[in-house]
This record gives sequence, structure tokens and C-alpha cells, in this order.
Amino acid sequence: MTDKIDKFFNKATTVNLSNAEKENIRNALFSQMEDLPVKDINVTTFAWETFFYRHTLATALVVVLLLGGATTTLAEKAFPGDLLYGIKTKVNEQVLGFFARGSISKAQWHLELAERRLRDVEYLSKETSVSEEIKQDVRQKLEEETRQAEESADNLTETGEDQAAISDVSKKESIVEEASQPNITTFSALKVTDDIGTTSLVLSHEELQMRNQEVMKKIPLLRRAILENKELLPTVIIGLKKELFLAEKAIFEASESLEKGLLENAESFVIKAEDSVIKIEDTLPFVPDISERKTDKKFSNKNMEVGNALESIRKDGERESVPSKN
Amino acid sequence: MKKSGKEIEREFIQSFEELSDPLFRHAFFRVSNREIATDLVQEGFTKTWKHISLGKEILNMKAFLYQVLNNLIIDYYRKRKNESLDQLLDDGFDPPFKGDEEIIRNAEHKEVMKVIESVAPNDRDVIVFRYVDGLSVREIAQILEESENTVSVRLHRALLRVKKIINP
Repeated sequence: MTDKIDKFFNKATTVNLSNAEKENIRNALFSQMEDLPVKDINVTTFAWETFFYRHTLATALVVVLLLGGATTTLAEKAFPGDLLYGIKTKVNEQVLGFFARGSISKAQWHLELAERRLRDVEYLSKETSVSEEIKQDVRQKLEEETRQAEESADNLTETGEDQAAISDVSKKESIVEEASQPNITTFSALKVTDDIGTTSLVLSHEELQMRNQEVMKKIPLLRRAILENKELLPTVIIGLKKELFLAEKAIFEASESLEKGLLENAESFVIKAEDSVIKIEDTLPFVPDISERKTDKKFSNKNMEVGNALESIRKDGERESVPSKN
Repeated sequence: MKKSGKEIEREFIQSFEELSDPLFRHAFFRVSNREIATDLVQEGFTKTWKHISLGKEILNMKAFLYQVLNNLIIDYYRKRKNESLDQLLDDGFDPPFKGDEEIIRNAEHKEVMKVIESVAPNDRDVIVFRYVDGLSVREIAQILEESENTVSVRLHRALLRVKKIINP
């Protein structure tokens, strides 16, 4: 098949400039070269000494990483309570964070850190040998990183650097203006609708568990869809990744609350997770697995039911009148 | 190390002789118009020379010329984004050839052009770079300032689309 494609595109290789066209360009160039003569220039030859001199810190880091490579690599896999966890958070993450320059890279790094802390908290929830003090400490760090990740993602659209990134991308993304522009609008819309649906309606344990699992199933699909959407702007991707992280966090918190029998808390987390998923789905132009999309209507309808109920609560101002589904 | 003005001129002319046809081919299959493609190629070389005449060094002439041309094509499309493919083909594809052989060749070119146009805009440039210009994934990555992995993914996606069209 590749041969067939090669053969097909071989037809294109017969397209060349005619002699006359080439001659015209050549003449125009020669005349320009006469008008704008070039002087002798110093050309760059790669000099290690210059590189090391100019990039002292980077060189130092390379040396440190080379010397302590095995330790730092092992530390990457460490979890709270492990001997190397301190190296992971105090050395590796500090070094990696140092290279995150610019608002987009910083927002990405904060999201990465928040995701790392969530993995730590998930790990600790199953680990009995780690002290409560460490668990509390990591929890606090998760909340702190979540706050920073949200803040840096939300602030992105307001910085000039971001605008530069957008124009850079729009240049690279060639002829897709029509595809990328709506995404900017959608991302703004995504921010406007940021805090909906967190008030609680008490549903049954089973129903909450089912809804939580439904959201959980969507996470890898959405992650794939975000990665595969090459026409999305970096700011939009960060916004989507933020929502994805918030959904994952809410799913974990819902599961935890369900285990403890705290249904009201669980429900508020499930709704948070569903909201984040809906925001992602509304922003993405497509989601890969169609069979999964079939469940979306049901899922959205449920959310709409909850939304409508909440709206009526707000209007009436009578929380007691909410019909319980339990 | 110092490079003389004469040496730089000689190298630039050599680049023109070697790369003008591939660059023209690249522009032609992106803008679907021979005259515009010729103008874009000329402008690409002109801009590059201006850059050189300011005493700026170009480490990879091929990648630089493709980058300049690609940006010019993008600018061109921005100006004409409202025109449809049909319109472009109708008023744009105007090769100054005569005779049966050339008519067949034009038909083939149109066929290639239609397939290229059917690929998603994002992946189109990658297909042209790879199959029309014959550049390697590494070279494409360098020109587009993307990772080789990203280019490979785009190429793979575009090829799936092309396969479907060529072999439905």
C-alpha cells in the first residue's frame, strides 16, 4: 500500500519551474543581491567551552543528574513514606520546575504537580503503614497544588505571553483559523460556567457509585481526545487538562466519601466530576469512542435533571421542598 | 570562523539552483496556482537574502527556506481563506502547457491536489512535505518546529485518509 501511495504522489514530482520562470526569479535575485550586498560574517562553530560558559546552571544540572542519575530516577517512582520521596519532591520536582518558563509551561507544570500529588494521595488511601501525619501533609500539598494549578490555568488568557503563544500556534497551524478561533471562545465560555452544580441532592449509594464509575470510564477517552486534538490552542489544552484533573480528583473524593458512607459529600463530588466532564465534552470537537458517546445523552440528561432541580431550589428559596430520589 | 561575502553569495545561488524546484512544488500543491506559487518562491528567496544581507547566519538553509515559504503560504491563505477549493481549482490551476502529454499530466496533478485537499488542514502540510517534497520526518519536524513524534502521528493520520481515498 505504501508503494501505491508513493506511486500516486510520484505524479506530483513532475511539477517544476519552467526555464523561463526560473530565469526570471534568478534575475530578480541577482539584482537584489547587487542592491543588498553581504559583508563577511563570523559563522558559528560549536564550541563546548562557550556552551558550558553560557549555560552554567544547565551544565551543573546535567552534571548533578549524571552523577546522581540512578538515585533521581529511582526517586521518581517513590511515594510518601519512601526513603527517596524527599528527593522526588525537593530535588527532582524543583529542578523540573526550574525549566518551566513562561505562563503556559508554568501552568502545565502546576497541573503536573497537582496530578502527582493526587497519585500520592490515592496511593496513601490504600497504604496502612504510613503515619496519619504524612497523610495529612500530602493532602494539604494536594489542595495547595490544585489551587495553584487552577489559578495558573485560569490566568493564562490574561497574559501577553499567552497571546504570543496563540499567534505563534496560529501561524504554525496553517489554514485552520476557522477551527481554532471557536476554541478560544469555547474556552472563555468554559471559564464563565466554572462554578455550577455543586449543591447537593441526596441520591442512593448505588446510584452515586454508578454515576461515579460512568465518569471514571470517560476519563481515559477524554484524555486521548485531548491529546489527539492537534488543532487545539495551548491555552485550551491547559483548560481541558485542568478540568480533567478536577474530574479525576472529584472521582477519587467521591469514592472516598462513598466508602465512608458520606452520601451528601459523595454526591457533591460526583456532580463536580460530571460538570468537569461535560465542560470538556462541550469544548472538544470530537470524542474518539462513539459507543461511549451514546451514553452521554443519558448522562447529560441526568445532569440536567439535577441542574433543573437546583435551579428550582434557587428560585423558590425552599431547599426543603427538593424531592429526594432516595 | 569568518566567511567571505563571495562565499555566502555562491552558497545562496547554489541553494537556489538546488531547492527552487522542490520549493515551487511545495507551494504549488498548497496554493493550487502556478503563478502564485512562483511569486511565493521568489519572495521566499528574496526574504532569505534580506536576512543574510543583514549579517545574520543561517545554519540550515533548506529548513530556513521551507520555513519562510511555509509562512508565506500561511499568509496567503489567511488573505484568501474564504475561497473554496473549487474556486481555487477553477481560476487558479492554469498551467501554461500544451499537447496531450501535458493534459494527462495536468489531470494527474489535479488528482494529487484533490487528495491533498481532502486531508485535514493540519495534516496537509505534513503530507506535502513528506510525499511531494520528499523530506524526512526529522526535516519536517525541524521546519514545523514540532517533535518528530508529533509529525509521525500527523503523517500516520493523513496517510489513513489518503489510503481511504486512493483505495476506497
